[in-house]
Amino acid sequence: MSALGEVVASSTREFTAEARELYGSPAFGSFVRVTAGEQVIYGVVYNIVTEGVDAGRRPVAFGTPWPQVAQEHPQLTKLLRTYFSCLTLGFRQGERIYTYLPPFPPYIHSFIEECRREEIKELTARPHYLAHILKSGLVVADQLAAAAIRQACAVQPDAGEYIRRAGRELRRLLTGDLERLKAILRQLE
Amino acid sequence: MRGKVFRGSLSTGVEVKLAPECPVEDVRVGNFVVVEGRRHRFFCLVADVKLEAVYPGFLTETFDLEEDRLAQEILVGDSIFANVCLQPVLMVDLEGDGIPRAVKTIPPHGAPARSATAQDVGLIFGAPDDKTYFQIGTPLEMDVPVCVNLKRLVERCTGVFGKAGTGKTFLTRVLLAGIIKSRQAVNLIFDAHNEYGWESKSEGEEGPVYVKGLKQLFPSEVKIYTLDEESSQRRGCKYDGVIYVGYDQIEPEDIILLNNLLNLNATAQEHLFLLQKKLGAAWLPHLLAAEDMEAFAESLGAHSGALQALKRKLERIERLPFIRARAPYDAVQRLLDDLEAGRHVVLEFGGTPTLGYMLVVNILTKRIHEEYVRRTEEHIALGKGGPRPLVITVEEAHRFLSPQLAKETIFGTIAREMRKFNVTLLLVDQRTSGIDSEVMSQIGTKISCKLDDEADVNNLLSGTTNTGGLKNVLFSLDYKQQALILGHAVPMPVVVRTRNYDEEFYRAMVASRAPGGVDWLRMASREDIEI
Ligand SMILES: Nc1ncnc2c1ncn2[C@@H]1O[C@H](COP(=O)(O)OP(=O)(O)O)[C@@H](O)[C@H]1O
Ligand SMILES: [Mg+2]
Repeated sequence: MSALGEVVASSTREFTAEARELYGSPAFGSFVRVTAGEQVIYGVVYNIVTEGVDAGRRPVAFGTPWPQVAQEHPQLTKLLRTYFSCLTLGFRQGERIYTYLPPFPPYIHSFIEECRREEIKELTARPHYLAHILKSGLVVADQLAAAAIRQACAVQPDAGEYIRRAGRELRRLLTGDLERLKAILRQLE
Repeated sequence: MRGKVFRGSLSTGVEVKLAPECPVEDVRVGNFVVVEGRRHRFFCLVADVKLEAVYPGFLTETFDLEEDRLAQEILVGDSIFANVCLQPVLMVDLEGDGIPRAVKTIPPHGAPARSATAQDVGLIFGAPDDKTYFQIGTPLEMDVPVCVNLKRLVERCTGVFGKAGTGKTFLTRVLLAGIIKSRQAVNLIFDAHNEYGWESKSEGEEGPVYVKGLKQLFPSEVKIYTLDEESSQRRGCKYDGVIYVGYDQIEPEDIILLNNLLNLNATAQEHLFLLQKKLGAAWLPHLLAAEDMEAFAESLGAHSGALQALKRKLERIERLPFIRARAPYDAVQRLLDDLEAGRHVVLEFGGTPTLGYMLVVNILTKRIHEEYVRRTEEHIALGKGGPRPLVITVEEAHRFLSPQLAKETIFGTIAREMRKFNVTLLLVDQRTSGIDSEVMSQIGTKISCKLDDEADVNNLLSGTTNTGGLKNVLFSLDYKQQALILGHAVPMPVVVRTRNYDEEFYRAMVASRAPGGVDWLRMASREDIEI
């Protein structure tokens, strides 16, 4: 499995990576892994940003659509970077996957890979990750939860049952907030 | 049904969250449900079913059929759920002797609840035998026998209630057949509408059908006496004798009991006693024969106008088919002889009007009861058990047990003294609110078909605890052949589809009584029997 990016910022709750290629980030809501010594740390992609390398300089408009503009001005791809941020969901130590925060965050310059199917299956088998997401304080938390469930049910044996189970977990987490619950569930149909 | 206990108290009952996959519409009030506690198994009755939500706001929520299909699927059944309210009645200690006893506690939170199985029904209500346990029906939701304990049934008064046409008479016939077969008691049946003794016509789905009377099922054990010979002959009833009532057997009290029908004012009532005092046992024929009322009144020191009015009213008695100046033989003695020999007696009234029915029922019951009291006291003096228990069946029971009369009639007395003298009543009536509530609360076993009048239901349940659920049950019964049974003869209230009174029942009744393959049923049919 090839690396999708390299860690450029790291903290207990989240980490950010620079994508190997411009626009080469994993999808919003997808699960990623990064090895850190004895552990493998798992996260879910919650934000993707593409911007100029020089933080002070904003790209200028060329009036030519992408990707034509890149062919005409190849240096442009060198001036832009794609970054993606991941919310930490858990980690593996030895054989076991733990669905809570790892003792230490990933190292800078570690490579980030897509999670393997088996890992996603295990990581999301019980919908504990939804609690992390909903309590993250992220503006996009609800959307992220829906996206993560969609990703997870692709690898679970009974997708329909999995969605219902996740739905019940959301119901518990959202206590009486039926409107929020309905909004998330509508993204799962 | 399946579910889990989530709330409850001993006084208000236990509430169960219905499992989402169980349709709430399959849970009926009155259903028999078992809750598995950790150390006890609880036997309960469904008292109510209601919809509830984890958050009250959920209940008023509507779900868009397209967009919110998933939300609905997740919430309905789980966050919005059916709450099955159970009334625990009995519990069995799983480590103890296995005998069901009255509940003293409740199952823990999360305890699984499920519909009762055939085995549960058997454990609680017993398996039919020919002695004590008699199948009266089946639970609504399964096909296993529900039994009443006949030995207990005859120990106290029993009531069979329900609106007209709900199956009271059929059910009573089933019960009486059970009592006869089990030999738990002897029966005296006041058959107001000629339905118990011999064949009677009933409206079936495809026109009229003939149903057998008790004598046809138990020819050698049942005797029929008629008070209207002409009617009995017309109907082809094979009666064993005719009963007459002599004027001398009628006392002023018997007349006063007919007050509802005769409208006697206070003066008239006083005159009754005056007549008896002056003229003795023959007061009635004297009055009815009086031609010169002025002179008659004067000889008694009475008011001639009052006597004239009284006479006019009492002439209705003169016209009753069974009235004679003197009865040719002592009917009561004859009935007592039969009862003592273990024979059951059906008294047919033919076309006798209500007035006659009431008069005879009162006079006979009074004397038979007197005799039973005497005999019971004799037995006690000799240190023996009492005489064979007697069950007196009366249709239209409210006529004898209305709040105005219950204090005075013989029936009120029997109901109150209970089994002291080995006489109990089997009351059949359609308006329980017409029956004195004190008498109502003395009834040991209450069997009620559908009642839909609030007052009737309240009066039926007077003297019963935790009635909330039972009320719902009564209102929910079908209009035919369903009944709630509660009280002395059953360990817990139960709703049954009553046993069919049909060919199969006849066969079951005569089956074990036909040693050597004698076809009693055929022998008992109309052509074959010679009396
Ligand atoms: N146990 C039963 N077996 C067969 N038919 C029954 C039974 N109970 C009720 N029925 C039907 O319902 C009708 C009314 O029953 P009945 O006992 O005469 O009602 P009630 O005495 O309450 O007025 C009967 O004619 C019969 O067709
Ligand atoms: Mg009837």
